[in-house]
Order: sequence, then C-alpha cells, then structure tokens
Amino acid sequence: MSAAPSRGRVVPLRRLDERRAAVSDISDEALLAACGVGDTAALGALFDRHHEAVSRLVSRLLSAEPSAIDDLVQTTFLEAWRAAKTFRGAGSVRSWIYGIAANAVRHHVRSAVRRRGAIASLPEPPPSRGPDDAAARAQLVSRLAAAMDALPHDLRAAFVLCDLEEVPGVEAARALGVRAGTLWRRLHEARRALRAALDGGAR
Amino acid sequence: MSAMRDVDDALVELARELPIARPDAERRETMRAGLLAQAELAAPRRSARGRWIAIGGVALAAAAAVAFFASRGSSPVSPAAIDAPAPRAEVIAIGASDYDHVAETSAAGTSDVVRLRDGRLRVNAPLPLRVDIGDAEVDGERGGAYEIAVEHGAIREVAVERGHAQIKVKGAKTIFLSSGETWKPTIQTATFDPPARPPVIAPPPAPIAPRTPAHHSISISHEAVPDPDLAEARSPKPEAPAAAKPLSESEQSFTTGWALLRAGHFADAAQHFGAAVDSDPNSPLADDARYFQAVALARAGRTGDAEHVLTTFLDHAPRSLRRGRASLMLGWLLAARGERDAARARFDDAARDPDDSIAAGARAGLAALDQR
Repeated sequence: MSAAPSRGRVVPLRRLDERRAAVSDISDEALLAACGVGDTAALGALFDRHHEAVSRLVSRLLSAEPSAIDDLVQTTFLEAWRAAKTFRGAGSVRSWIYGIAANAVRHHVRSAVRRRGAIASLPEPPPSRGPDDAAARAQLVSRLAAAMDALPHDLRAAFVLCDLEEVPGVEAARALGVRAGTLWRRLHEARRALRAALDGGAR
Repeated sequence: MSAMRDVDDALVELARELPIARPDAERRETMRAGLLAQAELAAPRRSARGRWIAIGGVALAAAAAVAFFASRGSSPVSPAAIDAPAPRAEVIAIGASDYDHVAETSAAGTSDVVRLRDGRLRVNAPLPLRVDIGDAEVDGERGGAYEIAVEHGAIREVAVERGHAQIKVKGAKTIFLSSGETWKPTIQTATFDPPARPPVIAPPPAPIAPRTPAHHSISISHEAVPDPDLAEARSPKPEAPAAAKPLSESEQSFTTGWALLRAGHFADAAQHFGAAVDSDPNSPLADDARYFQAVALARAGRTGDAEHVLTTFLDHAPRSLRRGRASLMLGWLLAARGERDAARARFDDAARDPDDSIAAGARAGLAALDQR
C-alpha cells in the first residue's frame, strides 16, 4: 500500500460541505487542490481565510483608487480558482495568491483609462493643522502616500510585499515572477525613491 | 549602514500608517457572493439548470449573509424608512441611542452632521461627516467608517474601521486616528460631564414628539429599541427608570425577532418580525421589520416567502436606505428561480445604489445573467 504522495499535489478526498463549515483544520494547499476540482465551498473557505490580507495588499498597491479594490480582490480569487491546478507547492499559498493579486493590479494600472480615473480620484491631502506633532506626522504619511502612488508598479510591489507584508524574499520574487536579484534591486530603488520624496518634502 | 537601516525602518513604520482597505462584513459578503457565483459559472461539469440552481443557492446564502451581517450592528429602528431626503451617510445605532442626523446647509454647501447624546453609533460616510458630542466633535474623512460611543453626553470611545478621523475635545489637543485604531478618554467622567449640565436622559413630560427640524436642516429623531446586551453592559442610571418608556407591542415583537435573528433561530425570528408588522403595519418600524423578516426567511430557506416580503418592503419603503440591499437580495432570489427579466430589473435597481459594494454586487448579478 502506498503512502501519501511524497511531494507534489495534495489530492482532496471529498468535497467540502459548507454547511458543516469545519474547514479550519484543512490546509491552504488542500483547499486549493479542492478548488482545482471545482469545489466552490473550498474557494469560499480560501476567501474567508485570506481576503483580508489580499484586500490589504491590493489597497497598498492601489491606494489612489479605492473603488477598484473590491473588484480586484474578487478577480484575484477568481484567478486563483481558475489557476488552482497550476499550484506546485513551491511556496505558501498566500504568497502565490499575493502574486496573482500583484499581477491583477499591474494589469489594472496599465489601463490608460483607469489610470486617468486614478489620477482624478487622488485623495486630497489633509488640511494643515499647525505645528502639532500628530498633524505633522499625518502630513508625512500623506506625502509618503503620494510618493507611493508615484512609484512604478514593480517597485511598489517589491516594497509592499517585502517590507510591508514581510513576504520572504525568495517567495516574493517567485510571486512576482522575477529573480531574487531583480527583486532586491527593485526594493532598493523603491526605498531610495520614497526616502528621497520624504526628504525633499522636509526641506 | 546601521543609520540607513534605521531610516528604512522608519520608512516602513510610516508606510504602515497609510490607510488600507479593511472591508466590513457587508462588503466582504458582497465580494464573496460575486466570487462564488462566478466560480459556479466557470465550473464546467454542471448542466445549465444545475448550474443555476447552484448559483442561486450560493448567491442566496451570500445575499442573505450580506443582509444578516449588515444587520448585526444595526439598530432596530434605522433611518431607513424616514420620508425625507436621504442623508448621504449611513448612521446605524447599536442598541439604544439618542441622536439626530441632520443635513446642515451653509454657504459652503450641505453637509451631514450627527448630534449624538447617548449610545453608540456606527457611521459609514461616503463624504466627510461631523459628529457633535457636547464638548467634543469627531470629523470623519470621506469614505471612512467608524464607531462612536457616548454616555450621558460624554464621549467614551471612537474606533476607526476605515479611513481617518479627528477627535477634537474642547481644551485638548486634536487626536488623529487611522484604520484599526481606537481611542478612549483617559479621564472618564469628570472631564467631559460638567456638573452644571442638566441630565441628558430626563423623564419625558409626554409621549415623545418628533423634534422640530431646524431651519435649513432635515432632522431625524430616533428612539431605538434597547439592545438587551448593551443595556446590561451599561452602568445603572438612577434616572433611567423614570425615563423608561414601555415598549409597544410592535416594538416588543421586533426586539424578540431581533434577538432570535442574532441567535440564529431564523424561522422564529421571521415569525416575530411578522408580528411586529401586523401590530403596526404603517410605522417606520414595520418597514424595518419587513426587511429583517425577509432576511430571516431567506436564512431559514423559505425563499418564496422571502421574495414576497422583499417585494412588499420595496413597495412600502421605496426611499429606504436599505432599498439597494433588498433589491440585490431579491435579484438573486429571482435569478435562482429562473426569472431572468425580473432579476435583471432588480439588479439594475441595486446597481444605482450609492453604496459601491451594493452596486458591485448588482453588476456581478447582471454579469451572471449575461453569462448564462
């Protein structure tokens, strides 16, 4: 009798029953494998587990266009559902979904029409409140937000994934489909640009 | 090198303060509904009929969940059915709350202002909104969502779920809050409750009449039915017994239905909401009761009855703030039953809702109809 596969795919034994909702002990990999055979309950469970993180990531990648965030989160999970069979387990499922989300955002911002919409809907900076520490910090945050919006998507994705989401470098590189060296270079450039933006504003 | 690392750490720390999307339960369920419906459509192995049944089931559950989750923090009496121009912000009382929601007109235009005297409110503001609380005010930014708790006219807590808010307390520094942050005053009573102030909750001399609207404003008064959980959690108020107004039969039924709905006893909840409607069919409370009766019926699996009650709700309260949600839910029910044209009409209606999440859910419904 053969044991479980030594590596590779996780094969779901049964379809999930959403009414039982006992999915907390099922791994992400098993849920994704269940998605691969058309189990929508598994997709729902995967969404429940990761939608907050994906919303946060998309929001950080696309802060200038909040109205598009829900749509992109939905698109991310739908793509994950469609591509579930291609997951090979090289990294974590969350990093893999992050990669899909980053790609979805990149496609989104490349659209010229939507880009114009994004620019039109840039958030207004908060009004000046005088020499108050909290207000000064709020202005700094506002300046950083503007600098983030001005970053090219690839640099921003590297900064968000590595520094804010704390995805390990190798996994982040895999999620973004680049070599580790490329990722580190982008991260370095992103940090430098953001530092420069903050320093410039302070002068 | 170390200095550079410190700079980077400071940069990351600052970047973590940037506002991020934190979808509330309602938006999350809307996303989930659309996602699962589209996944069902993408699944290749079902027949068309089976697929629609599956979509209907998924969407119904999700739509019901949307309404249920949306209702969890809601007041039994909401601004939903007030026959007045709809305020642009959604203000939901959590438990017994005493507040006005007004539209103030000035040279700069019209803005939403909430005057909160007692209780807890959840504010979902597509545009900037100010909450006045005695000696303090809370300014929420456009697109923000937050909760404010006030006791006897004194601010007790502000919790920002989305966006930013500023708290201005007289004689104190302005406090800035971001998503996920909560603020409570360090000094509880003495600072914010001047002894000279008359008691906020005073025995009403007569049955409470609607507050007179101020010039240039739309004034909405709320006497929410007490939430038993919240009432227990609050400290006893000596003057409260004298101020207590006995609940009407309709309010009692509503309160019971509400408790049953939150406890997951959907069929019983539907029955009590129905009784609330029957007791006083033309009151604003009856409109809310109809809405939640439909939610309870849908959750109980009685979709035909839910459909009927939703239709009645939309007929009775065409200007309700819950119109979009009700239309969306009804659209999914009709789509599941194969009533494509009727479903499309409901989705079209929901797509015009100012709440982006509802409009997005409606667009997902329309897309699902088109892909069939």
